[in-house]
Amino acid sequence: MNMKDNSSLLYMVLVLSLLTLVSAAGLSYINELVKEPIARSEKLERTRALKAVLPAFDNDPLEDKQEIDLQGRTVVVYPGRKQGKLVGLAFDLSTKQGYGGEIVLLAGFLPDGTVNGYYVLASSETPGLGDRMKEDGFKQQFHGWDLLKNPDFKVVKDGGKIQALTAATITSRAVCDAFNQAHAVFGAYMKQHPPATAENNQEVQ
Amino acid sequence: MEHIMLLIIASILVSNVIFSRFLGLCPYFGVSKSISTSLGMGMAVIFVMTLASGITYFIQKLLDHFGIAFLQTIVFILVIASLVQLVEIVLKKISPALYQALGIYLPLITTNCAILGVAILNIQKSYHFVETLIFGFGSAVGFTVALVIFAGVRERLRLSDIPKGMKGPAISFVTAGIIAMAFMGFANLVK
Amino acid sequence: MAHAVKEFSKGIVKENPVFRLMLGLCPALATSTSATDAIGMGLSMTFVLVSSNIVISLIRNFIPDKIRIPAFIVVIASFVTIVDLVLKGFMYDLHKSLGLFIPLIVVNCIILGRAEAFASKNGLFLSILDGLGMGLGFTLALLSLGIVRELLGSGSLFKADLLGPAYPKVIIFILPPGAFITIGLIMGLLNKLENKGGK
Repeated sequence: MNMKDNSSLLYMVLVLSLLTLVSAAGLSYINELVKEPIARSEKLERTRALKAVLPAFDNDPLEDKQEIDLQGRTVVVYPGRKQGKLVGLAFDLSTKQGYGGEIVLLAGFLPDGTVNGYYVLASSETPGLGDRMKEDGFKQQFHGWDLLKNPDFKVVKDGGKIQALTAATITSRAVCDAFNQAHAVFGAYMKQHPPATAENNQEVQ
Repeated sequence: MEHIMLLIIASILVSNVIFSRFLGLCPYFGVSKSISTSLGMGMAVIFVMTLASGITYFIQKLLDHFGIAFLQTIVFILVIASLVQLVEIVLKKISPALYQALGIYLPLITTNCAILGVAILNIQKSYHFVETLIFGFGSAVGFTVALVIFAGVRERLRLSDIPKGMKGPAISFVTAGIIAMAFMGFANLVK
Repeated sequence: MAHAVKEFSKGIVKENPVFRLMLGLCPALATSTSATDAIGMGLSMTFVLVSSNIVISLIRNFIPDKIRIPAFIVVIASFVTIVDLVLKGFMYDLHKSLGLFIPLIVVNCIILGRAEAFASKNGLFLSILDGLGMGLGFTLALLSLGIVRELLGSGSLFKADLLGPAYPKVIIFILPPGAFITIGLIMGLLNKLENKGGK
């Protein structure tokens, strides 16, 4: 019995529906199965990122994460501490202006408002061009940047100080766009969770 | 308005689907044998891609609403396949001549990774509805431009003296590489 | 048995999907910026190809001819989604590298092509062999592209720095133009070897 030649509308609809149903059911099952491994992978990635952008710490920034309120939305900040003292803080910066879509960075800052570095968590930029935002050559430009003195990040072409990546102005601009949110987040964190140590008595506006 | 113009130019030249994003290559080498088939294929792609971009925009909203975003691949490709079937039927009725000219290339549009690729890119770039349509339209125009340029070059290549080993697809690819390099020059066009 | 071996080996050289049939070009050029990504894509695609060949071969007598394309697409897209989810959970870095091109496996003309040309007309065993052969051919093609491009363009191999910092990276090779030129030259080379052998 070769059903291939059966061209009744009912049978066709039946086969296609059955196929789609089995597939959807199977995929939902697998989706549930991988939810935990995915969460684990993301956590591992974030841990790797925190180690890269924060100075040496002995706490668990993920465990100690704090939430701040920024004009209605909640931002998660990961504090790095050594022997109880705040040595750095990290939070996500994102931009939708990447060449291939959203770019999400984890940026690390010292308590005095200096940029300590960033780690690219998510991006879809072109390998060899925009993707080089992950390389130290480009990253170094942000290292040591004083957030409090210079809250604005712009590429040289737009009158700023960041040298764009060769043939990847779009990506470079996107990274700047992400960093432009940093000042507000940093300020809000210092206000809402003032580090209670003698060294950090500066009032951050 | 300026934003829209920039988006169009960007999608056609700066981030050309073929020369910058590697999408739509299979039909690229198959259809670009003559300028006329290239134009025909290009028109079909423009139509399907713009429509597909618009429709998948709303479908994604539905998928997100029901929390089944993991079904994006399946749903999108089925929508695109259905759209192409629709275009085939409509084209057969409206312009049998064009339908004949496109021949087997029409159903091939379904497997044109550019259509699915651009649909997914629209979502990744969080474009709103108008931006989605423009990016879809612009990308398809970019595809057509790339296709026609290439067809023109290939027509000339046929009359050139090429070493035996490089004849055919081999020299075509190297040529595409050179054109791609030229397109890289557009990288700084948008400001 | 010879027949079976032939079904398997044809996909590797004679009917190599990338260099001879010119299918699967998009992922071939886009993901061959490094040898690691090349293998990752090759194996992912092979998994989808073999799995969908298996399913399609098993249900081939129940699918009405008129809806065979949508039916194939549902099967293929399902396995692609499985690969996407599994990679995200267990091979996070590869998932990040391959990005957009994982869902694009569904429109990889090789897979739909084999479903239509072979799996829907042949038994389970031969379909598996066909899938493995084509998949292997695809992976080898990608690997050869990936090795050349990564070595020349990044001075590394499988993400391990090989040529040292003194090597002036010829970046063009990991960019689109380099991809086109590399595949063109490799094809030319294969043509030359074939012509020589023919004599």
